[in-house]
Amino acid sequence: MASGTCRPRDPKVNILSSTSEALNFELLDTDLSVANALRRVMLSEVPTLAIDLVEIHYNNTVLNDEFITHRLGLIPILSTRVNDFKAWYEEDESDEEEEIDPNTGYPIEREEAPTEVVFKLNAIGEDKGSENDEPTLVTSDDIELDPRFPGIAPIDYRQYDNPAKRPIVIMKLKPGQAISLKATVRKGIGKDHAKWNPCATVVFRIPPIIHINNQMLSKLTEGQKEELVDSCPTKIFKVNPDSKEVEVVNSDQYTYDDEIVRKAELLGVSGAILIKEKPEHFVFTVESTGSLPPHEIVVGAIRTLKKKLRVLIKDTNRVLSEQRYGGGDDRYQMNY
Amino acid sequence: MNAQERYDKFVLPDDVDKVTVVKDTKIENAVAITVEREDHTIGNLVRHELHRDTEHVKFAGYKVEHPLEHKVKFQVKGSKDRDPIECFKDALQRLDKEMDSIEHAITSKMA
Repeated sequence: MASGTCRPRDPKVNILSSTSEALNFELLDTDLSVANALRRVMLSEVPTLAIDLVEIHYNNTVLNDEFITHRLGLIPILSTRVNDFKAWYEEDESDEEEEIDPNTGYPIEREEAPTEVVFKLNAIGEDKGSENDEPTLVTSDDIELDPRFPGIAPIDYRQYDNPAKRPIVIMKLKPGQAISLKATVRKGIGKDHAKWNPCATVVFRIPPIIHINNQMLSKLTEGQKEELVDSCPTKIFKVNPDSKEVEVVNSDQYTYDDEIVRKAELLGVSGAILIKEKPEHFVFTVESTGSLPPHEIVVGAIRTLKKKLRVLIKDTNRVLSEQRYGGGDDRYQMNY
Repeated sequence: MNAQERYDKFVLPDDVDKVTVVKDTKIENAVAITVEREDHTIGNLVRHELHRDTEHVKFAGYKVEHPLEHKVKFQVKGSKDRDPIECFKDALQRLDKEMDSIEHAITSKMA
């Protein structure tokens, strides 16, 4: 199994900052393909909960049923317990042997993982008198939770005493308008529909390594140095007012535009500024929609990737044991 | 009208194998490995991991042949004494270990 000199990498992680909404971390000692796979999985394959099916009983509002359904779907639902649920397409996790009860000799019946949570929403436009024609707001706080799952709720649900946590407006009602519906929450992934995507943004950047040869730059006049420094569209260089040397101010902001390198060539000092990417170093920013805390998105992505790899290992082993691959099969013709 | 179902992208049909392997008819010790219901996430990841194993892997590439056919196809050529499918499996196992260590690194730092 061990393949000679090729060993698994052992990447390092440093947390740079962490809040309930965003996480910044460094991933070191690994390949770009791993960083990118993580980013892609965070965006589209970390499971969350979202409203998926809506049954509208009554609707005389100005918004049509489909429109309301779509808006409901986009409300982030607190998904920290998503792993207790089963998506409709998922097979039973219990692939392993059935447990046998030692007393009765019968297999122990496992509790089936739930697939659905049902929310209800009933609202009527209030008549606030002729003076006040403000419409009634219908928000995520008006949703009635499923009594079987009191923990599954829209984010910031009924946080009345915290003015910073405001509910999400679904629609507005005039007096006499009313809405009544049943919404089914299901587990899903962002690949199916973006409403299941737990991330607001996931990006990684590669920090630059910047070499400045101030000996070469000393050929330039002060005006030329200023010109050189200003040529960079993100202002990350400056001329030190005392030593008159070019310095880096904030290398994180560099966009790899190469403008300053070309300007240096134009000024006849090509090679005075050299910029390259720092190898095996990725700085991630993960922002959450609120459905999952950012670190759980990252851990969820790693687990999803691991699950994918294990499925592949298992099926590759099956192929190896069957050894039934042959060249003559018409269904899988080789293409060159 | 003839749009695919959204779940076609990630739900493996019952009658389809996740991994199928066909031996290359023209190149010695080379195979085409088709992985169903996966995309560039797995394709690029595994290809680069195969490239690290310079001792046993002579060639490794991947492609997604059509954007509406949700599968990736790897071409792997092993060295003389090495089954390319074993190389593929080793690459997957190394990645699995790597994911374990990333998970460990991040959970220990977050705790």
